[in-house]
Formats: sequence, C-alpha cells, structure tokens
Amino acid sequence: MADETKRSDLKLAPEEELDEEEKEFRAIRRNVDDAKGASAAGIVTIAVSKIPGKNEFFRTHPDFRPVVPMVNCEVGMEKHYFAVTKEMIEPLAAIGITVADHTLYLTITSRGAVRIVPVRRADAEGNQNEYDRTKEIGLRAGERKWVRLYTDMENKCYMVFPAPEGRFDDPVWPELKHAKIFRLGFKNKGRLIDSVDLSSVPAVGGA
Amino acid sequence: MTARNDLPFEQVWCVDFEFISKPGERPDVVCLAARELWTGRTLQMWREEHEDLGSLPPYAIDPNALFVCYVANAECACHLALGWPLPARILDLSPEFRNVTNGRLVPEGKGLLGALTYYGLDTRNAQFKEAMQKRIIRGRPFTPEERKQILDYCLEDADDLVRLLPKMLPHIDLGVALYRGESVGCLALIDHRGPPIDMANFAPLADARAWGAIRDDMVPAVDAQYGVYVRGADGEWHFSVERLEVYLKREGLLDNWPRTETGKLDLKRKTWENQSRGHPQLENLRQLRHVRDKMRKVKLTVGADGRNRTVLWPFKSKTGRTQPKASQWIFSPAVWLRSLIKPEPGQAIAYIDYSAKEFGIAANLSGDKSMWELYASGEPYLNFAKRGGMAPNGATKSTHADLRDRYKVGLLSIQYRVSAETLAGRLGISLYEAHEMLNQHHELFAGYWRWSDDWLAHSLDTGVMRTCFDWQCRTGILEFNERSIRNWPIQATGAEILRVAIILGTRHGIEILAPVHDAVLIQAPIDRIETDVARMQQIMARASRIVLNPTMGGTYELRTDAKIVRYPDRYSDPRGIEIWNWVLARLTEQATTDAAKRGDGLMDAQVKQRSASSKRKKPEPFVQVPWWWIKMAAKAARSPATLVLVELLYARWKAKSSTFPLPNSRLKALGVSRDVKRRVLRDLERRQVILVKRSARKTPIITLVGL
Repeated sequence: MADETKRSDLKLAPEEELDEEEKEFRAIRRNVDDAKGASAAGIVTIAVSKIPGKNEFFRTHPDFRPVVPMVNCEVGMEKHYFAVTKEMIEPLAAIGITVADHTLYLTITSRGAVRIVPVRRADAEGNQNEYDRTKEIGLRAGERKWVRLYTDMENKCYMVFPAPEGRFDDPVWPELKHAKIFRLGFKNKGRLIDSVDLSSVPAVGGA
Repeated sequence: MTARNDLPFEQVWCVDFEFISKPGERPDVVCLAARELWTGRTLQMWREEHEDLGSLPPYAIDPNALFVCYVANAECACHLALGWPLPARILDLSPEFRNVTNGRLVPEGKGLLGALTYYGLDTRNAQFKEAMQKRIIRGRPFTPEERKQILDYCLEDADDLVRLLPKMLPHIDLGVALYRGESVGCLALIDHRGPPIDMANFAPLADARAWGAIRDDMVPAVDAQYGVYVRGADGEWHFSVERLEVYLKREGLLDNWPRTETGKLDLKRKTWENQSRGHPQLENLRQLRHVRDKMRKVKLTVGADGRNRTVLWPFKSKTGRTQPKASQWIFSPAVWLRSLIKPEPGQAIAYIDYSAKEFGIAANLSGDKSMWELYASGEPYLNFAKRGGMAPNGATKSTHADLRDRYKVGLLSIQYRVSAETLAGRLGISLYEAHEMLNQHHELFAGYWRWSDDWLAHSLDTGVMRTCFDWQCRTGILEFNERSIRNWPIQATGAEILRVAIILGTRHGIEILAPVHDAVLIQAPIDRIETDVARMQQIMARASRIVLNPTMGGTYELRTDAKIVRYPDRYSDPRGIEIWNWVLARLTEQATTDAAKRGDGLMDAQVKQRSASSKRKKPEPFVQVPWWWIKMAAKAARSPATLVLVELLYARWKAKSSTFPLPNSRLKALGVSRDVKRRVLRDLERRQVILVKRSARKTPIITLVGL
C-alpha cells in the first residue's frame, strides 16, 4: 500500500482488478452463520391449542404428524389436551373417560408463535366432526402456503383463507427433534397420562 | 522467542516514533527507534542529526518486511509527515489487543502499558512515560541529555513491542491482522489529508471572544420559535425545563416525550437525537442546546493548511468503528458547523454514503427475503409504510420526506427491539399505532426476528460475537444488554464494509478525506470528481459484496448515494442550514462592525471574503429583466421551468436570504402548476442547485446553493 495513486484516467476500476482484490479478502473471510438455530435451545415449552391462533396466518410443519391417543378437558376458558399412553387407555375407559386418537400438527404463525394443534381423527365408522375435518383441511393447506382459519359459526366449520402471494416469507422452524417437541408440549407440562395418578386432570377429579 | 514460521517475513521491524503533536497539524517527528526481530539490528535516529531522517525509511517496507507497531495510525502519520511511503505490511498490535479484550475488563487500559500488563510483562513506570510524553510535546529545543533520554525511551517502546509480539501472536490471525493494519494505514493517510475548512469563517469562530458573542446572540435568534431559554440575573441564558414543557405541550409532543424514573423530562443527548429525528422541528433547538452545553469554545482542530485533523481512533468502539473526538471533528453533533467544509479552488468534494445500510445488512445477515426485497425496492422505509397503509401508493421520497424520515427512525429502532412506548415517543404516534407498527414488523420480517433471537442466544451461550473478518466482542462480562447485542452484528458488519471500501478506495487512488459512519468524504479536481465518485461508488458496492456474500459472485450488494460540492460552494447538511446561515450573517455583521470600529472605513480582506461568501464571491455580470417580458418569453418558449427559476431568484431577493419559502400561489399566478413546480424543484435539487426542506402540508423551504 502506498500514497501514490495508480489511477488510469477517469475510468471505473477494472472489474478483473477488483476480482483479484476480492479474492484476497475472501481468503481471510469466514462465515458467521453458526448462530443459526441457537435460540431453539432455549425453548422450554410449546403451547398446545385448539387452533394455531385466532385469525392469524400460519404454516404447518410438513413432517411432524404423530397420531396420539388423547383426552381433553375444559379448564376455565381454556381447553387442555392430555396425551395418553397406550397402557392407560383401558384404565381411563374403566372410569368413564373416553380416549380418542388425535393427529398432532405443528404450526407457526407469521409472528413466530409455535403451537401444537391436535385434531381428533375420524372414528371407526369414518365419522368426524365438521369442525375437525375443516380444521384439518386448513392445517394441510398450511403445509404449502400461509393460511388462516376463521370460525364459521353458522355452518359450524372452519373457513380457510390463504394469505396474498408474497405477503410472508417462508417460515423458519425451530431446530427441535420431534421427540423433544412432544416432550415440551406434553410430558414436561405434566400433560402425559402414563400412570393412574390423575391428580393433574381436574375433569376426572384431579386438583 | 517468535518462530520464523509464525511470521513468514524476511525482516520484522518493531518501530516507534516520538513526535510533537499540535492540534490540527501533522506530527512533527523528533526521532525514531526500531529493532529488527531476527537479527536484533537496532536503529536510533534523532531527526536533526540525520538530515531529516532521509527521503526513505531506514528499514525495509516492501511486502517481504513486516512493520510492527502499537497504534499504527501514529507511526504511519509520521511516515507521511516525513514524505515516506507507507509500509506494505503493517501489524498494528493495538487493534489486535482491542480485539482480544473487546467486552472484557482491562484495568490498565488498552494502551501499550495496558497490553504489557495484561500479558504479565514488566512495564515501565506510567508516570515516567507520561513525563517523557509531556516533555516531547513541549517541543524543541532539547538538551543533549534530553535527546539521549528521549531516544532511549523511544527504543524501550520498540523493545516493548519485541516482548509483546510473541505473547500476542497465538491470539492473532495474521491474514486478518494485516487487513486491519492496512486499514489503519489508510486512515492515517485520510487524516494526513483532512477535510478542507473555510478558514475565513473558521478564524472568528475559533476566537473565544467572537464566538462567545455569537453563542449568546444565537439564543434569542434560534430560540424565538421555541421560547425555552430565559436570561438570568447574571445576564446568562438558561434553559428552562418548564418552558420546554409548555412548548412541547403546544406542539403536542409532551405526552410522548420520555421521562426519567422521577418523572422529569429526559433531556439526555440520545433522547434529543431520537426526538428530533422523529420531529424535525426540534432539530434547531437540539443544536442550540448542543452549542450552549458543549461548545463554550469551538474546539475543532484545524491545521495552518486549513485542514481539520484529529486522531480518528480506529477500532475504538465496540463495533470496530472509528471514534474521533467529537469536539475536534468536523462531523460532530453540531451539524451546522459542517458548512465550514469547503473545497479548495479547483477542487470538489463528494459525500458518498450507503443508503439504508443498516436495514440492508440486517436483511442480509438474517437471510429474510421479504426484508431484502424491501431493501432492493430502493425505498425500504416508505415501502414499509405503504404496506402498512400509512402512506399512499404514489408516495415518494420527495413527496413524503417527513413520513419517510419517521419510518426510517422507526424501522431502525424496531430492529433493536424498541418498546412500543419509546417508539410512540420517537415518532409522535399513538401507543396503539406503535403496537401496530411493531406487529407489522414482526409479521413481515419473521425471518429477521428468528435470526436476531438466534444471534442473541448464540452470543450469550458462547460468550463471544464475531464478524466475518473476525472482529470480536465478548458477552457476559461487560456486555449483557439485549439491544446492544442484537445491534452489534449490524454495526460491526457496517464497520467491516466501510473498512474494505476505504482500503480498496485508497488502492485505486481515490483521495478519501474522512470516514463518516456509513459514508466517506472524498476530494478530486473539479473536472475529475464525477469519475472519482463513480469509481468510489463502484468500489463501495464491491466492498459490500465482499462482506455480505460468502462466495464470489454473490448478489447481495448495497447501494450508495453521492452529493458533490464544487468550489466555491460549500458542503452543507440540510439539518444545519438555518443555523449556519444565521451564523454566517452574524459573522459578516460582526466583521463589519469591527472594521468600522477600527475607523478605517474599509473592510479588510478577510471581511470582504466573508461578506462575499454570504452574498456573491465578487460582482459578476447580471441582467435585469422586466417581469412581463420574462413571463411572455417563457410562455412563448413553452418553458415553465424558466418562470420557476426567475421566481426563485426574485423570492431570494425579496427575502434577503438564500433560504425562503416558495408557495404555490405566486407560481400559480404566473401560470405554473404545482406539479410543474414540484418537478422543476426536484430536478434542481437532484442537480444540487437548490436544497429543499419539505414538511407535510406546508410550503417547501428552498435554499439556493452557492448564492
């Protein structure tokens, strides 16, 4: 490097010369993308809710799709979902609690809120509540595009509205394994019924 | 002992200079000492004893030799002052030490002694070092004993480098360190030049008595529209918080003004800056406060050659940006003072800045496509407002300048997770609107927020943040602040881009005069300025590509804007024009009074020059033309632009000022529609013939440049 200039004569710098200089810098440049996914390590809970968010646009994870026996109960204004292990289905039935298979969907809203949405599956005869059926349609549509669910009270179903093209970017999913997602949504919150101790289930006489 | 494998150079010179430093001047070199690492060869040279130290350095500076020093900008400044070329390979241990300790506690400071202590090496007495420095600054003549003492002291500094180097080497990535060293060398060159200052107007401002009078007179003149200063019994002007409250209430700004924990109005510098960005009507008051509180004297350091020089302090800030002392630097918070920058005869200067740089960098680092699309649209701030329905689809930078500025402040604040309350205060919007804006940002840029959360988590987990050129900052020791951590990668990446741009610009012969946050000031002869600007813009675009893309041929690139000022015009910042015009008028008035008091009846050369710069440089040919004729001729020639031009001159004459409002009504009477007026003004503004200050629903304020 020196003070004296090597100017050619009022011309732009030759691109080849800049290319050579760029290579010099490239040799010492390093990528700084090692932070990617770091915030996922701090996630200690995932909400489980009836819908991804009232009138909020969301996307559905294309791979997370476990089918889990579940029971739900109303706690105040909220609906709480409990996953049930296979061994516990019969003991619960014995005390009059019906367990039904639910498909779990992982959703993310446009603002980044991650939720698990359980949808009750059709019964052995193929009957399924219209709310559940249309909700599932919406959740499936969310795999490909941003959509929102709207509760149509008159027709007792959900309506599915897609977001205008290009309104939102592709979703960024937290880097969590499926087992951990399930653990954060149920087990860690005491919402996995895997023993006869039902103290945490108010609907069946718990605290 | 340092192994040759660690430093693959034929020669490694540890060098130190002693020099007399005078404000604004280039260093006056007294002596040098140098020690070669492999051979132990020693140089101790007193300037007067060695014919001004010769025309070339007494050590090798080619690419096979390494130049090791501490605070290389000083050593390089000495090279330049002696007329020597800069070394090809510079290893400056100061930024390397700062890099190692950035975000850490360094009780002994970040100077050479601090570094020696940090690595457990013996140091000389700090008081002795201080005494020696003081003696050197006092200047010549030096007694023979003093000469010997200073030479020995200088060699000790060079020897300290010899001891420090092996301790630091394991922490240094040589390739990156040489890049940083080259950037410091470039900054020394920049400081060697310095921005040109209009000495005719600077001299009276630098005079304490004259400045004191102007400073006092400025209060009633600028405060007239605010009414927040009161003159006390002592005859001094005092800022009245009660009156400020009244003013803010009148303007509808009181509710959103931040308050301290005790409920008083928050009057911190940062608050004023934020508020005046959101509410431009406060800008003059902010500057007046700065003048009253911080500028008892104009401490701008200007050399006898009319150049502003101060140590630029490379890498001083946490983000690796330069941090010159504000009071000595022309690009200080007193923006009106920047009008003192004036190219020399035959020369032009250009201010080239990256547009929406922080927004663009955030989009790039996070990989958020929506954010980048908005950046690529050319007007991210206004387009964001349009998406939220806060601006009509046809809004442009010139039609909605205020709204754009507000959204610019808003978007950048949101990026660093500002609260809805603060945002409402900054933008003068309701809390509800602020929440809406925050929601909108989170929705639209969810990818950015995911990345920002990841960055925060990763930085706190690993305890360190890094840029792509390995500038680092520790977290969890001094740095815990969430906003600061989220902001760091964007600012630090911005610093890297500017550094690469400065290095490339210097290599390609651009005469850079100053780095200014995300911009550079360059100079060139008038006939070459446009080419140099184009070349620098090309280089700045390339610099951004180098930093923002992981591989060659990447497409992330930042745009730049340029503003050229040719002699005899002066540089100006639109925010400071009003105050500058007032100061200029006051200077002329003062000079006239002084001349009259001297009784000579004639203005001296300086007065003439100042007077001329506020009116015209010298009487030049002009024409007088009847209005009816120009109106008729313009219509015949179908040139409404001519009518606008003549109306501008007429309005200036009538206002007795180069700054004046230009209402639609007068032009309408001449048959010029407001659309035509807008088009012509925009055209003239783009060509920098005029400056236009626009406010929503208000008549634009025009300033004729150079008249």
